Amino acid sequence: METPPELRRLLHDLQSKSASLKSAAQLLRECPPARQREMIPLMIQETQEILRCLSDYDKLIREG
Amino acid sequence: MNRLRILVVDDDKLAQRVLAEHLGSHDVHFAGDLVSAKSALGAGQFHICFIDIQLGKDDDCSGLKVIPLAAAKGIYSVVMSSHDSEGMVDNAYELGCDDYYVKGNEESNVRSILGKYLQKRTGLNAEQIFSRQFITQDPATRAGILEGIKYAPSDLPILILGPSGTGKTSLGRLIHDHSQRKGEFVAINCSAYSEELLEAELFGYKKGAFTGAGESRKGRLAQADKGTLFLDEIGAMSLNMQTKLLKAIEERTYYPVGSDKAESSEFRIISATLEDLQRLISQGRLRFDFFQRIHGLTITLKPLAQRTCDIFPLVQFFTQGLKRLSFSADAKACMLNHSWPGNTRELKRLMTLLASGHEGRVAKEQVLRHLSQSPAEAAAPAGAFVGEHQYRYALEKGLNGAVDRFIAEVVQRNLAENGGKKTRTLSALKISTRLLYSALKTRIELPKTEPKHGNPS
Repeated sequence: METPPELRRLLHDLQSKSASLKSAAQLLRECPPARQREMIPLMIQETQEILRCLSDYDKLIREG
Repeated sequence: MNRLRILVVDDDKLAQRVLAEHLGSHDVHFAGDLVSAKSALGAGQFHICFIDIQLGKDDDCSGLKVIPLAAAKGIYSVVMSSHDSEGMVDNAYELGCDDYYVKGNEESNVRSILGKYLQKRTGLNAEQIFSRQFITQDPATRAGILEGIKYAPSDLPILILGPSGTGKTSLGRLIHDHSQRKGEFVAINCSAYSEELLEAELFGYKKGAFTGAGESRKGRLAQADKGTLFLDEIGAMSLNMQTKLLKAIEERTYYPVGSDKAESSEFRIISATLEDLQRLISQGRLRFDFFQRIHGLTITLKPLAQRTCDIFPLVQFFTQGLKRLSFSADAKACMLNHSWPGNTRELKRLMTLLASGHEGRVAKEQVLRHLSQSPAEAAAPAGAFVGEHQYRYALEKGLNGAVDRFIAEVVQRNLAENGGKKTRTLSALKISTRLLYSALKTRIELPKTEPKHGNPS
């Protein structure tokens, strides 16, 4: 069964944003505190986007 | 490193930030959509363009349109996307991208891309490498080394095979120098330590972990973080140690001796050995999964006696800054025909001895005198039945291979001395007919420069 386009797009966004978040987390330990303070708001924003993707995905599969 | 002008086309602010961190000191510009990407490409020249395919929530893969625009300007175009379908990858390459990476391993991928780009831009200066960094004129050796350098920017593990003194550590360092890795080149000889000491040396230890551990100490893995860990004589590592190192390689974490807190290190493995690793696997002395982890690319360095074209370029290299030497014709012939069991290291020692001596003009007798005193030659105890050459052969081919060759050489020589009369050979050597015929079937592969003298046997 082929994945509907909307789900496919959400899956892509989920993968993309999770990958960025993981890469940013790996970088954190090497960044000086000032740069960490700049990165953390972006990471929080990304996390919220991931939550939005998951919530939309959940809604779509519940609607069938 | 050259400062490059780089355009990152990605709508994701965090992805932009991550790339900016990895691109460090380069001049990095950003575009978050197709329009600004077109504008940036139209306004200036870039060396590299990183392209995400989907630019925005409802975007219809407009990043694909950036690829031909960048490629047309001769920009090294790299797709970094979470789209990983075969169709998308094919499409991107057809549109002209140079590389396609799936997002998620930026540190390693960016280093590899920059390394490949710089190699492509400057070209590998082979003559400079082979005249200054690794002296060789041998075509097969040069090809192996260039292959190693080609893979230097990647994380691929490299295994260097070759007898002692052929330059395995120098090659490991050369590959590290071309890798763009920020960390150090850390070498360790696995055969120089007992199992417990090797563990402490590699993983480090905490204060009080064992008797004598007065202070905590970092290990070689920590030292090699972001760099290269060079494991010499890998075949000497115990199975237990292989298991522990395998875990550290796979998980990128390890426990220092006496610690219950995991530590992490991002290191690239280059290993070296003179042993036949397949044989060690069949003997149960090397874990197959460990072998798989260390032999991404294998480079074999030939013994010096099999690349005699390198002897005099190496002589010149080793005597740079020292007294220049002139070799008589028979001294040269003597060096070309020597078996060099200690390989390049033995040649270097000879040159140091000769250059420190009184004579600038070197005669055959001087060469022979120094070679006969060389530690490699003297390694076999006085009166030993097995000389250094045979010993090295047994290490290289295995004991059975060495015994087969010994039998075949003795039988074939005796048969020749007896004018081909098999009965005389059977009687002289007190062997069975079966062994005689088996020995005659053995093909003796003599090295191209079979030693005519200087052979310690």
